[in-house]
Amino acid sequence: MGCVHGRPSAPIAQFLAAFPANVLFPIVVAGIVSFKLNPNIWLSPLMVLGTQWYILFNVIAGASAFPTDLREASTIYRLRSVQWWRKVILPGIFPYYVTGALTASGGSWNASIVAEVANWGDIKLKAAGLGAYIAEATQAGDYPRVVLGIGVMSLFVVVINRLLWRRLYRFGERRFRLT
Amino acid sequence: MDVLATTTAPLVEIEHLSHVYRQGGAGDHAVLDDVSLKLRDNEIVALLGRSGCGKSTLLRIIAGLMPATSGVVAIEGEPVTAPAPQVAMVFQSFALFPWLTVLENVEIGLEAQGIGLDERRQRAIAAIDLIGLDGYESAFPKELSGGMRQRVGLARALVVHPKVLLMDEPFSALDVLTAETLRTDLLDLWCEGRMPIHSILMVTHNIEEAVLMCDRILVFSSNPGRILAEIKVDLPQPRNRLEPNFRALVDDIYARMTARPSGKPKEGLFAGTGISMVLPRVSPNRQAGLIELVAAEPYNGRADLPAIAGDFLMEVDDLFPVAETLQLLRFAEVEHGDIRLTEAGKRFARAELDERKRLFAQHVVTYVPLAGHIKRVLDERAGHRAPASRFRDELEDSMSEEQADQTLRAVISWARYAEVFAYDEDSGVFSLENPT
Repeated sequence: MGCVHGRPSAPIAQFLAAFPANVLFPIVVAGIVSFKLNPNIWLSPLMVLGTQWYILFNVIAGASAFPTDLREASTIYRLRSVQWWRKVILPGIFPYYVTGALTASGGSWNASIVAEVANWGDIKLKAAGLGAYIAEATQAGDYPRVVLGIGVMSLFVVVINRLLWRRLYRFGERRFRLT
Repeated sequence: MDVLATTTAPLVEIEHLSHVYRQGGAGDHAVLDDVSLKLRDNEIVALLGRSGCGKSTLLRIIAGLMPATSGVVAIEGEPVTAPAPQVAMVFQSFALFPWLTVLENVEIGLEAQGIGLDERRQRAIAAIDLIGLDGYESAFPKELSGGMRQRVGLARALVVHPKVLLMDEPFSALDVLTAETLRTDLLDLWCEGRMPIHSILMVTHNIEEAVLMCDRILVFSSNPGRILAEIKVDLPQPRNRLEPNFRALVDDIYARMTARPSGKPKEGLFAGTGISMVLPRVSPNRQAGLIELVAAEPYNGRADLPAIAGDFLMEVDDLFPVAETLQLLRFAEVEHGDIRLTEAGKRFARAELDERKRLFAQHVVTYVPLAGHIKRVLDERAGHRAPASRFRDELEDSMSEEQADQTLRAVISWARYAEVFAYDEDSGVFSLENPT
């Protein structure tokens, strides 16, 4: 059985989640500079860092809530590997994943304000993005630009929620609900 | 494959199997004790017993879903370490994947065996037709009724051509009529030899169901689960529930299941002794209901349990705990499938509410050790108050958390009715004050 055991991994994940993402900024900045990488791509993992935990915790919750009888049925009929992932566990945790991803996506927009402009000593890396725009406007004390930036970001969050996450959520509820 | 081995080894063979649940701190709880059985070709065998007798655990051990603590389980001579390919299972809860269609659910076992799409489809459709689901191939489980869902569960099991079909309370989640239809359909297919299986092993707590369907019935005792009796059912199929031989067999099994082990005190009915007896949650209203029923015409103080169960469409699991609670409280005697009211029971039946409460209070304090214990502690204490956690800790020394909770709740509900002592849910404190 491709067992997903939520219990032992949850405390470890909670411990890791307690680390602030900023701790990793210097390492990432140093890496980007020394390897001459494109900040537009390589700063994005920083956005994801703080918010990925929502996904992980929800997926762990989903896996632990997976019904015993379905687990037993998949064992009895000896479902394995690809089939087990595709037909059993991925559909089973899909609604949980969407809930986590929805939360994480909102949080990542927020994190982009911090992550798109990363400083380490004299080195300053900047990505071309809305987060960097807001961060710079805030630093310059330029209220109209701050308001515009935050307004646009809120609009993005709402539109993406409506167009993507809500639909996925409803799809999950309809197709993969366990009751 | 060795021809000799397949012809001589029983399909399923279990020898001296015991299973123990390890519980942190509270001591181990024996679920199955020294169980041996054989399942041969061409028979339907029932594992019959009340909830908690370990019969479902036994089925899961045979299915290879969990290992036994000790003993041997073999399928066609091969020790079971993982689910054997000769075995398929039907679940009480159907256990269908809600995101797969009927066809996809039925195909799942074949897909796991690596059978190609064409053959898979053809076999799945044949199984679906056999079980009477044609036309529902593309439906999702939630669009089907309970009976239909269990048919999908059956088709999913049959399609892999198992030698042994394991069924865990397959009809108990269905309403009475649907269950009966499905039983009859299954028996028809079995008798006509249209199912690709050699034998069926089914778990049930329903005596009539076992007698209706099975060639052999293994009756289990509870706490720990042991095989109490093996009964051969020689009645020809199709069987008629109203036939005298059928009734006699049902009565006989009732009698065996209620027989008092000789020399054991009455408390022995429930696991544990003294204050650590695990009590069932049977409300005083249900107890009073059974007393009144037995006291009234046509029973006049003595009744056949199967008759009562039949009259009220009750199942063993509903009826036994009530009857045995009455026995513990000395309002009735249960023996050989009969329930007989004691003098106190008859007095209770005749009495008005206040007198009933008084009588019930006397009996609860005298015959339920835990109730007597709580009453004494409250009497001795200056403030006549004691936290429930104190008693819970005592109980958990000898039983699981769940059992301790159930036992405390039973005593609380009895004491409240009897007005022996009070319990405050919010603070978790017992007291002698009567809420007014």
